Amino acid sequence: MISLAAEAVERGLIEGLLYGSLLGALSVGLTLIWGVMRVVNLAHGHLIVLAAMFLANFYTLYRGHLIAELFNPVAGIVTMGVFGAVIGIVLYYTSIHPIIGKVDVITLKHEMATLMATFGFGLTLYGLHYALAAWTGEYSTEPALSWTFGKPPYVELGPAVTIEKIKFLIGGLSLLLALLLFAVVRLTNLGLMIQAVAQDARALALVGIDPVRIKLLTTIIATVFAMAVGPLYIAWVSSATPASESIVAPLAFVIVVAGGLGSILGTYVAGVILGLVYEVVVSVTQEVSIALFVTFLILLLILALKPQGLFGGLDDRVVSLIRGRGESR
Amino acid sequence: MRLFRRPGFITISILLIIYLIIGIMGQYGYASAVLGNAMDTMMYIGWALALAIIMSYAGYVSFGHAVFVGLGAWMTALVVMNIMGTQPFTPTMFVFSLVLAAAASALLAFAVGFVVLRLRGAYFAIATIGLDYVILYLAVYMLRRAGIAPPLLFRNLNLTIQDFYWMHFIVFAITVIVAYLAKVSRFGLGLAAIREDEEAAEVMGVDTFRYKLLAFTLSALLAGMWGAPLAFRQAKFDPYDYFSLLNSVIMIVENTVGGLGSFLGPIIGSYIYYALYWTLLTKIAQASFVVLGPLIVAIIALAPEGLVGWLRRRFPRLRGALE
Amino acid sequence: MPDVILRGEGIVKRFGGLVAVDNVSFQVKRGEIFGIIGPNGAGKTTLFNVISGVYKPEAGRVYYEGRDITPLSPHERARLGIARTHQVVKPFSGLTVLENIAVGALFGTRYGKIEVEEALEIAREVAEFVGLASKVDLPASALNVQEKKRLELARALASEPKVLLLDEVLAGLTPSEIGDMLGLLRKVREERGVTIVMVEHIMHAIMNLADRMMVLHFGRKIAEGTPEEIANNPDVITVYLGDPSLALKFVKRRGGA
Repeated sequence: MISLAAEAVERGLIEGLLYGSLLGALSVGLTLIWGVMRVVNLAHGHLIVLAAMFLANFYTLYRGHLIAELFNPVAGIVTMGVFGAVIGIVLYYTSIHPIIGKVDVITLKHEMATLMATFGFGLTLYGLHYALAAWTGEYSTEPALSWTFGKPPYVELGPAVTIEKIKFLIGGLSLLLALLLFAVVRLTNLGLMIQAVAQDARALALVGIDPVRIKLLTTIIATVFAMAVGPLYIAWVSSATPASESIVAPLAFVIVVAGGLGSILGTYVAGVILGLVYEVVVSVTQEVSIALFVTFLILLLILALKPQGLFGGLDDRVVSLIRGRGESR
Repeated sequence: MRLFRRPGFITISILLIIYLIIGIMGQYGYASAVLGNAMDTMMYIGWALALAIIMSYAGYVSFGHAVFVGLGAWMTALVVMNIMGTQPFTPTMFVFSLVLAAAASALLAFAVGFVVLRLRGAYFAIATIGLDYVILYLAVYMLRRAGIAPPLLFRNLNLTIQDFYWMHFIVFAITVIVAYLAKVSRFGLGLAAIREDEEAAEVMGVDTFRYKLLAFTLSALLAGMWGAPLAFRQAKFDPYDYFSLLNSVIMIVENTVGGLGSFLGPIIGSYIYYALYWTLLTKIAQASFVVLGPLIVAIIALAPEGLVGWLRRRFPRLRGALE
Repeated sequence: MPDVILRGEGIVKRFGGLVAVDNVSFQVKRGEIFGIIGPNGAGKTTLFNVISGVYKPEAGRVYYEGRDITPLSPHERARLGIARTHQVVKPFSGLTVLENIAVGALFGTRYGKIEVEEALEIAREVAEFVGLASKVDLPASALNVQEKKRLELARALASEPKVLLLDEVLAGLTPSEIGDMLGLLRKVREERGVTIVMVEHIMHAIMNLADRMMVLHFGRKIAEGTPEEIANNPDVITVYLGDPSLALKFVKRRGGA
């Protein structure tokens, strides 16, 4: 059933923009750790879901008390961000440092090793929800978040175009988070050092900056910017399970590949574009499965034709990192 | 060393004989309690060995390998509900399902492999995830277009648990033998060279692209075949379950824990995974990952060649025996 | 010319703006030991990569036994009889020494003609030839630098090549180890009739061993000839050797060990 009603498309475009903003924010942490540190962080999705699940569980648990407001989707950004810093330290020292902590040049073997190690870390987080549910009677592996924003909670932008206000909030906060990360990486001294470590860790050590500290900080920032977005994610979808990771993570990977590794702006824009495509397809075809089919088909096409991403440049180094042939210096 | 005196051959013989005995006992009504477990372990080993050809032997980690299992199950559903939709069950139906499952998986792998095998490790891994999801959502859409909300339940075929057992056993035997022959042949040594250093292998005369494509196709074919016994036993085609990333994860865990580069590794890894899963099933099965997760991290950091690989390195004298 | 086994004509290799190999032509005669020297960054390894097929040149052609092999992939060239070692050794770490060498045997010029069994036999033989017989069942990762270099050589030899490209095979070896390796290389040429093309930095060794040589500088060939001619060539001296009389002294040592 194809519904080409103008309202459907209009609604799709607006929701798409907002959803895409969320998707972009969900992905920028990954593009940082992957693009800059060469760590394919397979725990990324699990981190987002961890924050989402904890937020929903605690909010529901403390419902009615003041402390619950620490776990609403807005304050939760900060709460989960702080939590993320702690988890980031654990992630770094368990799964990253043992493999590439002291290494200057990251080879394919290192890349695959950190990929697998973060994969194991992510699996642990996945199992953690079920373990917590088993050990404490109160932790739910299928929590729902009931938090409304605005009275009334929706806004009417025209006949048959009704959008929940909370989505505007989520879209806006997502944009702010992406901009914040961009500012940190591009405009601060720390950000410069992070980029420098990616280029030449040895040279950095020679001027007295400890590459390990920079790698640790990069991991922390990437983890923070994964977990801080978790609250926004569950605010959008209203409920989550540990298996939600298998929805969130692949999308994030599509977006990072499409937007270009290491480019925060490129990744965010790719997220917005993907959100638009997704929502418009859903509005027109009324079939989520088609929208998702199209999404992942796009991933395959990009990997086949332009793996450096829509915004990635075609320089030798990037090509060799993707194709790994001898054509590299 | 002649083929028949090799340790791997002994391993295969032991495995096949044990599962054959269990099957025969099952025919006469004994050991019915363990038939389920036996089928589970055969499938998990089969999955592990199928993935091993591209992952443990060739070094390319396919994160979306469940796509082939799902595709095989899809083909089986087509046979059961459409192509032979009115016939009662005969062994021909099973064989036909196997052949279609194998062919579809091999074709998909060949076509996609042509493109994605040019990509480096991490990009290849992500491409396979993309492939898994593309086929998953295609299957879901096709079902919904036919007016079916997934899962698609099979019509009643009057099959017994013994029937399911023999289905599993046949695919198990094929998988085990094919994986072993692949490993000990010139092909297997070439794959090992690719895994260790692809550029050096190419320069030494290994046609790396052709070998990788062959490995991926063969690996997909074996995984695809498992879709048939799975679908028959569950009596349904459940795309969300079969194409699930979790199934790919299981295959990877089995290979990682057991180890790269050996035939025995993935087999041991499967038993370890199943033991963990089974003991924790009484509580909550998925909590087993709280144990498996750190185990994987530890293995990657300390003994990346896995349990069997580590044993072979630490005790060179055992190396031949732990093939 | 039937006894020219390897020939390069006008080879140009660029990386972005950098011209790594600039219009290099050369000829290697069957059975000779041909040296390639030049300062770091002169393009020697890049040239090897073009000859072995890892890089495709922007211009120029490579001929092997009279045949244009420029369009061929690395593995095809290996099967025709061009083997190479690498500057930074690339052993198959997880495989044993024997298995490493067997890969060479299986996929070199004998590809399709022998099975794994026979390859392992050949590997044992070659391991003995290079002096690694006692280490055949160890994983390659357990070897030291010198042994890894021998393994690299053994792997290349096992493929039964006609041309052996050696990229700084003496780097990282002690003086006595260098002497051993030189003896081994002479054995390779004498007993197996293999043509050797060597990139080398260690002057006394290469001057001693090579029949003819070529000097590269910033990607260009600035001299070709016998070691004596090279040592006396004013361009080479200016660019590279520094003290002309020292070079002559090394050359005079030829004929000895």
